[in-house]
Amino acid sequence: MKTIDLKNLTITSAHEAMQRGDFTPSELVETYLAVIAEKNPSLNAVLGVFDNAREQARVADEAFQNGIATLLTGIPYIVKDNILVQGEIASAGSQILRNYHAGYDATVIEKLRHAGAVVIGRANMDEFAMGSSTENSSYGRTKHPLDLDRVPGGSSGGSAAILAAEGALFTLGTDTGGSIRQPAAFCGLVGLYPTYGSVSRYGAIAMGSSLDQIGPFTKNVTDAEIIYKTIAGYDTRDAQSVATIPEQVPFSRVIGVPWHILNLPGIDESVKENFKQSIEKLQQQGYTIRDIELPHAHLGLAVYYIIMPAEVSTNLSRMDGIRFGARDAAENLLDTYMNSRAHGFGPETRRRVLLGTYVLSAGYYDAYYNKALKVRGLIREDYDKVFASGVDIILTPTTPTTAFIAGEKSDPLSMYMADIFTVGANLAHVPGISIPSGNDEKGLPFGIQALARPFHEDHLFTLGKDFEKPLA
Amino acid sequence: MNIQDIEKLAVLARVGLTDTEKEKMAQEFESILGYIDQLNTVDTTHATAWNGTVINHTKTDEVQSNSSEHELIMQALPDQVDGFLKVPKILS
Repeated sequence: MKTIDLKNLTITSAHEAMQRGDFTPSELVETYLAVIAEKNPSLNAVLGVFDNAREQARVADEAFQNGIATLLTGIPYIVKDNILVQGEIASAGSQILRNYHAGYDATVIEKLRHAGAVVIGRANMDEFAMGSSTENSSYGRTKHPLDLDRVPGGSSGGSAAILAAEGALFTLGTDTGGSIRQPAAFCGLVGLYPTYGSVSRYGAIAMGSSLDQIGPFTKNVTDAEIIYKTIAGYDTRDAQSVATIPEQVPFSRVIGVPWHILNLPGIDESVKENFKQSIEKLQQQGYTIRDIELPHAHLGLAVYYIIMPAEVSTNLSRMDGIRFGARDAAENLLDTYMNSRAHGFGPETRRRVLLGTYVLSAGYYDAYYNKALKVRGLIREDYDKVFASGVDIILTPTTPTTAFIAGEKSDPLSMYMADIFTVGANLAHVPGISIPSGNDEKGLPFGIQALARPFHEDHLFTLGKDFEKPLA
Repeated sequence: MNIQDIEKLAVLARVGLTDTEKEKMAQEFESILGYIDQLNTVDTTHATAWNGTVINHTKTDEVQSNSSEHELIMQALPDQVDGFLKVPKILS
């Protein structure tokens, strides 16, 4: 079989290679399938490879032969297990959907199919996207490709790990509180949380309906831009999809850093050091750095852990064992529900469903849920004010630590802290990108996170491409 | 939060829990609620609740015939009889 240099492959260079005839889409897909076969037994990143992957590749071969191939023709990718691909299992990392076959393609899958990309499999995840390590998957944890004792992050840990292991050229994840950006940082990848409303959620198994977006994992910023522009767009099937993009503010290379958040407990010194070095690099590249304040940012996690479980408890009520999914048969209806959900849902899922039920229940709704919505409004205003003051990019580390050891964060609350820098974007509906920024002394990747104004992903891509360049 | 509170929630949420799980859940709730209680320190008297710029869309109810979707829905049913979804009795 042809040897393809996967490590240095980008979407553009792969396309050019296939145009030249260096290799065919079928050879590229075969190469990735071989990587998955070799590495997945130890990583547990991929839950299933799709039977029709080779057939999709053959169609792409013909497109090149007939001279009608476009940039994404024949480009192999893997999706998170909560994105529907017609006919394939979509189990959201859960037992309750272990035999659920998607009845339709998600909008993003339709768009990528139309663009000629080849979807080759589905990736492991924390159950129903609840987690920051992929340890909550009911199919076993995914291991970090650089250190099997460590986590790749979560909840899109499988999507991150398999891409870092060169098992695809890009992957898709979902992000509700950081579930693309955090694993991207842990695994040395680019991960994008698009502006809420820019990418259709149709066909993504819902977690937090006011927070969720589907987004790409890629090995470089240009690839993230290519995928984003392919999957974004108005869709009537997502009620919150945005039809009119606001006018673009010109990019002035002004970065705001909320230094006060970096003094919160639990942030590693090495992360702070790497962040400072990243700032210095950007300064040398011509960026202006300003101190900014996000006065309510430290409350983001508390707000998130009220709103998200509330929405989860509603969204997961459809997993009742009645019309689809695993049913635990019982004598009466109530026990059917109780048993199906007791056995079909793992501990973290049940915890969040109950927490959500609590904060929405009579007598507590005002104190918790309504209160959280008001603080969410204050958080959003903090971001609005900063962007209105002339700052284009808000920069922080993506995560407070590098990839941690599996089993280390056994207490739920300590796991929730992993999202301290990422939840703000989901709450305020601003886009965020995590970009690799180096490695620690153990070789584990660092990531920096850039946030921009809503629908200003181009500012993120410009900053990212600048940061990727070596200093002159 | 005590075990009875957890039990009430479990029934409301239709999620079964073993006794050990209920105890563990009660403790975890204490810790999580303790953390989210810090929201009480924020003055929100003049704050407006915000959950995104929510646009309500309505669609007309149009009857459409789509047999392939019907097939897929039927295939997903956990238990069926003569093309009908079979469920446990609701009234005992």
